[in-house]
Amino acid sequence: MLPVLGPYEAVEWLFTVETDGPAEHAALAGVLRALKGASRPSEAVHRYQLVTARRGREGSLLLDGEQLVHSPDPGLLYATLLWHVNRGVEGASHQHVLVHAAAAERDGGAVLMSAPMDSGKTTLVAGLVDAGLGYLTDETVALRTDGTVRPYHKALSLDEGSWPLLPHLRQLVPPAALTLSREQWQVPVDAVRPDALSPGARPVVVVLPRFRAGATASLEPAPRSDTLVELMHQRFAPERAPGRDFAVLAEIVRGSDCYRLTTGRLDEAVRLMLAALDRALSRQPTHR
Amino acid sequence: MTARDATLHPRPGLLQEEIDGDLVILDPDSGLLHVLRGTATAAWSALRQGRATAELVREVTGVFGVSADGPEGAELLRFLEDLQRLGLVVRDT
Repeated sequence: MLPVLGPYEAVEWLFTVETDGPAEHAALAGVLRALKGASRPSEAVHRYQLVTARRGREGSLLLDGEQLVHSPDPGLLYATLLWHVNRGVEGASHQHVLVHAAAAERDGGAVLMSAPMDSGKTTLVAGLVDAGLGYLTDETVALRTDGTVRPYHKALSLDEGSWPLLPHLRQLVPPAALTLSREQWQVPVDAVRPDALSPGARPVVVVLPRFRAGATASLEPAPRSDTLVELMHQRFAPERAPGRDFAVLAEIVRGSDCYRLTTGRLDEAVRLMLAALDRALSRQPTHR
Repeated sequence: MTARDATLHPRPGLLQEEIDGDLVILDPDSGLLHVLRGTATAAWSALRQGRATAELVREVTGVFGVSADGPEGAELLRFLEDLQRLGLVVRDT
């Protein structure tokens, strides 16, 4: 095995990674680097082992010694590890309200974009980071009970459909990661700008995006009550603490401007969200 | 039909949040969410105060300046039946 990678901190999911594959090691070191966290007691840290295929033996991915998957395909093992980290966040993060959403920040105010998978959240947050906002996450927003966002600085996971919109991000993907994953770019966000990783924020804008090919982008106010319902529906582990989640999300929508966003062109959608964030921030006490 | 002399009240254990005059109700047992607006919010408020159905209909229709015996009153009774069907309100025993 090559040197241990980590420990990493993905919200409440703490882990290390070991692998015997130089390409896997290089790819994971690059893609996971923004999750590098403080050392914790070893019993709290989970251990991934990615063993590459050798001489007719399939490769395998293990978690704490238990096999998660075996395959001759190194790309599948790599992708499964990254996918499983997200599962780990969902399973382990009991102290947070977890919502399917992306989030970006400026001046301590966050814009949350909440929608089901494959709704363009990563593309939108990448566009906002490109426009100068700080990055919080692209898939799972972790909310503390005081309503603030705890960052989850996973790499941006950009599917092929987004590549023409953000072609310059390709050069930021670790080369080994490009080789291992041909269907998705994993973009470490600190490569976009060294200061692109936001330390956290309080939501001031909540956007419910919907992609419609060819549509003119529009941002329409949404009732806060409907927005609360949408956020409740987009939670992970909804059975875990529904009352807590309900109260936290209600406070968030009360303190936020809420919109439905129809996205067609990324640049238009980004412009509309930046304007909404400006309006919300201008009403915050520290910005008066 | 909801008997007009029956007293209905919200089922214990429901969670609710009032936001901009709307009421969002979470049934923690089913996980279902319900949004009440306008007249429905007023009716819910009266339900929480333990009004008999006939009194509730008179009160709520009165707030909106319509007759308790007209179509609005009938609609309100149907709404109360819906709430019972959804398990959001229960009769006093």
